[in-house]
Amino acid sequence: MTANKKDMSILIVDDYKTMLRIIRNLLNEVGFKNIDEAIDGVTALDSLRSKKYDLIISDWNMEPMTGLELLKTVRADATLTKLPFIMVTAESKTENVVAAKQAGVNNYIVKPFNAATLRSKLTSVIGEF
Amino acid sequence: MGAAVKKEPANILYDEVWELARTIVDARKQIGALRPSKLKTKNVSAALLEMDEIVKATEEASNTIMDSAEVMSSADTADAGYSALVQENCSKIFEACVFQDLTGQRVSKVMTTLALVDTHLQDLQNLLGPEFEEPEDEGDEREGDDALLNGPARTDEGISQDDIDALFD
Repeated sequence: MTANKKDMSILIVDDYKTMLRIIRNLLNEVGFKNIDEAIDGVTALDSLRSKKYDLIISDWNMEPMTGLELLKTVRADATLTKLPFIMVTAESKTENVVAAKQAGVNNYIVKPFNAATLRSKLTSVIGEF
Repeated sequence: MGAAVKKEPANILYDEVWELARTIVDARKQIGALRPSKLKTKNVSAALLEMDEIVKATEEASNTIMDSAEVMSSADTADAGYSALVQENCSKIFEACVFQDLTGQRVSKVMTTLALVDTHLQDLQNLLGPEFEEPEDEGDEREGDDALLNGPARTDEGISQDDIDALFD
């Protein structure tokens, strides 16, 4: 992981451009500037295999590859398996959280959320920054 | 009083077929009266267009609000024009919030269409009669991870962020 955590490289994944913009702004607000975007799981995988990232923040409900499929693919890939992964989604049923946790998600944020929640989950995943 | 005339089997069959044909013609007329093609081509199509407009309007409003917020958050507070810039962008945010009124009206139109569809389905159910046996509801046929995709939960569904956090403790 990057020495100065605020310099860490983050990939945000969401099929809704407005949501990408909201997450980017919230990350900027808490000090992160090195942010790339992907609009679905497949595009995210392409990015993950062409550049080194320190954290991925992904939506769940996307096509052609969902956030859960992306998470499982990441965990099954020896080069990416330890990449911290936060799910940010409107899916808020217990079975969703349990499925994501079983698949190896590091934390789970339910939409809508605010900067304080994002900061708190980032801290729990990457430590103080 | 004369003896009842016994019908030939061929005549009985003819009467039954005639009655059946009349029932089918009546049913077609009653279904036609529900005007399904108008419902499909006019009401439902219009509702879909309204939904499209709602999506566009909310996206446009979100972008306008974020544009203004970004301009203000990146502005130099020491700049002489800072106050005017904040005022101008606050006005843009207020204007963008008009979307709530417009989308509310569009949602009302969609709800009217849904109520109309509901009424038509009720009429169709009445037409079919109480003896009509519907096939059993097949329920959600999705399996595995696909079955987990349900979108935003209603207020009384789903769990809170605190409950989610507890699952990670």
